[in-house]
Amino acid sequence: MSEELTPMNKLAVRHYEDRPVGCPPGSDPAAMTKEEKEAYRNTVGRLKELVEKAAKDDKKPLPEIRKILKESPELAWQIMDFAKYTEYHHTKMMVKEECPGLKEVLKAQLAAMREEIAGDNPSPLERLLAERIVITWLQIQLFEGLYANNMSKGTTTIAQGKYEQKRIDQAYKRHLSAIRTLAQIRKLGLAVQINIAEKQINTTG
Amino acid sequence: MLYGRRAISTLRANAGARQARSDNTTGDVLLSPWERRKRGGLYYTRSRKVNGRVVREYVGGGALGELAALIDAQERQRREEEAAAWEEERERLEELAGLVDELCEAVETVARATLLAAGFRQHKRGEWRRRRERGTNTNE
Repeated sequence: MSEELTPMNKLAVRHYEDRPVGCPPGSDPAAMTKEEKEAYRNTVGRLKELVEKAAKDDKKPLPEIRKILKESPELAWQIMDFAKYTEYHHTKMMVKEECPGLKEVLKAQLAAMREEIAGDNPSPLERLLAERIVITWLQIQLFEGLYANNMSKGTTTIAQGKYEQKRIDQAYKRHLSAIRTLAQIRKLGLAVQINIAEKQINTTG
Repeated sequence: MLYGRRAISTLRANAGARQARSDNTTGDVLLSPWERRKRGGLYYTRSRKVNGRVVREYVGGGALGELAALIDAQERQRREEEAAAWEEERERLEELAGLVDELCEAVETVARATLLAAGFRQHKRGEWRRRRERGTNTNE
């Protein structure tokens, strides 16, 4: 996912024909075509633009936001895929190749965390938020582990230590922000009928 | 007693008298660790910064100097390798952090979009509240 972003004026409205509703993401995000990646980024980019406009008490972008959410049900799956891709690269860096068992233990732990955070019968939005919490937690573990490892070796320079501390702080901020968003969604406790991931969802969880 | 610029220039002149620039084997480059002494022999030195000033440590000539030079060269190589390894690791970490940033941004955008589309608004970048306006239809 390192290609340059294209202008965000074209919306990507596509549907996955081969993925049943409710199916866990199984595709390989690294295998996404260039066009798919572009379309995904365009959709998220356009949505972000509209959300920023709407945040300034402007109601004009709301119909388009609803349209995108309604007509891009694959967006949630693509984000899930992206989360899997991110998780894969984190675990690859954290666990050595010669310890496949350890990798499996970590994967199982992450899956358990994901289930626990998402709760029973989670909406796709809750799944996304739970996924984000798990990934940010994993990132904290990675940076904390590297920092502790380098400190124990006693070879860390001041610049390295500062860099690692900064990364740990940023990871904690992201993690807390992810938890806050999920808590906010749950606190609202109102039925929010939005078509994400090919079905009507209810954000009450 | 001398003060200010005059004092500094006098100090520099005195320092020059102790270690003439031309004595160094590399001429203008003062960082060479090998110094040629007036008697003709080479002398190995180490330079390091102490409180912002370069301090030169005189190690020795002949076999001792060469041994010290070899140890220093190995140490320098080890540090360069470590720096290169760290740079590589830092690049990988940046890449991973970039993935997490992108993911977080996408999820946050979708969550906000969902709430806005459902008729909520964020109050002063904090709490989400339902819009009060009459006739707000979340399904429009």
